[in-house]
Amino acid sequence: MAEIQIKNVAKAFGAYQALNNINLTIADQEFMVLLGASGCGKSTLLRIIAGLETATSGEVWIGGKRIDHLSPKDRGIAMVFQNYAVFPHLTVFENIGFGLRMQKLPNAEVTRRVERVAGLMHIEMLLKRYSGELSGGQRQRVAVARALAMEPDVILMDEPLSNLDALLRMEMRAELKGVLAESKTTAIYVTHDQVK
Amino acid sequence: MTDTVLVDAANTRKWGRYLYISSVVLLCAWVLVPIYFLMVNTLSSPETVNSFPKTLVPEFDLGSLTFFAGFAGMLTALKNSVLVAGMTMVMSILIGAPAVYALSRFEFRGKSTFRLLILLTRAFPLPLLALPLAVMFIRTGLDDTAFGLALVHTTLAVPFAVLITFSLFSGIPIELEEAAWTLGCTRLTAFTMVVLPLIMPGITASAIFAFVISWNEVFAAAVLTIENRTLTAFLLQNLDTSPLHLKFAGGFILVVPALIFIFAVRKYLFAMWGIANR
Repeated sequence: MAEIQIKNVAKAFGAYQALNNINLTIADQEFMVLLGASGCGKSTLLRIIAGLETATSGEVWIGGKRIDHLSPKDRGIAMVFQNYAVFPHLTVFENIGFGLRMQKLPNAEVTRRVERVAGLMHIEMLLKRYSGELSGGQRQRVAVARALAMEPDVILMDEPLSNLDALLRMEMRAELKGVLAESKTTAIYVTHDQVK
Repeated sequence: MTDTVLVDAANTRKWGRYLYISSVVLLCAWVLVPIYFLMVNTLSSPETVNSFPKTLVPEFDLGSLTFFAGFAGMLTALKNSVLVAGMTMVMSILIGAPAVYALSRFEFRGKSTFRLLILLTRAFPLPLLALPLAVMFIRTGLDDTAFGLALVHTTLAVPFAVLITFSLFSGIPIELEEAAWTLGCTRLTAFTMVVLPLIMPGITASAIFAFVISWNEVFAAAVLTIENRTLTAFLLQNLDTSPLHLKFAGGFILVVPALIFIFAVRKYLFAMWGIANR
């Protein structure tokens, strides 16, 4: 159960008011798309939910628990970044398993989960490669797989497809929808692209 | 009409090219010729060194070098040099790396002043600082110790450590750290698991550079140590009164390790100076 509630959240960068009294409820397992022009504060809201940015005022609740004072690692979220942020010094396998290793899960469990999500994202054959040996689309898949492997309550996606070419974007968009629906997590998807 | 313009342009280009090549040759010679002479004279017998005309070909006489190998105090001095340089290396990284992390990741008041201050530590000539330092060291009991000298050398090396690692830190996207945080890392574990492996080559380079700075430094070493001399201070003290061929050999012994180290980290020095060509 992971319903997200955003209550009266505001964010100011100096004199500039980026977010003004946002109230939003996202139901459990909902796929919520935040759509808007560049610079309108969608990413800031996402980063506040993730804990990478602190709100000037307001509260964030996930699954009935107030989380806006917790650090990112304790919020039960996973995030997919616009530029993928795949760790260049680790193999794809270790990238996907990074969060699981941090949770100190046993090796067998890490392997099982990594292989499962790699299968979902169709990147089983890339597990031994490094980020430098992947195409943009493949890196994107690794980033999503890494978020899914955490089996989080909430997945946050910040323009995850904007760095891909048009054809690949369409393909990935359809696939992502299917994968997310299957994984039963709540998802917030930030984009400025109307088609999505 | 157009023909002459074209010929003129071609001529200018050609002369520009000559000028370029001759400057490069001149600059290289400026650096390499003395080193070459140093090597030739080191590997020559005392008679050849003092005779005239000079030869340009080394005769591979190892007499001067073997003399140094058996010279009393030489090994202790060498040991001191390595010890001081090693401590300088470790301390300048331990102090420099966190400073760089703060500079590249946080916005704080006085950030640019802080950056300037780090560089300004190089603005004070060491001879000016040496006397007060010596007095202070004697009062605190740090005089004539490897640790005391390493402290001074660390002050000299930190600005370079900061310069080198700053460009590398800035090249690491903050998203990598943010991703690590969302995947269960604290700030510290994100640093050790993600940032550190990525900047390790750069850290190694600035460590080696700090080592070279300490290895080459002679003024503070000569002033602040008496019994525990480093190699540079030891040789400076003794070569003054040595015959010419031993001076050459002593110089050679000092130059070679530094050259090897610099050669090993040249890629990162270029990065520090903003030359993209790797």
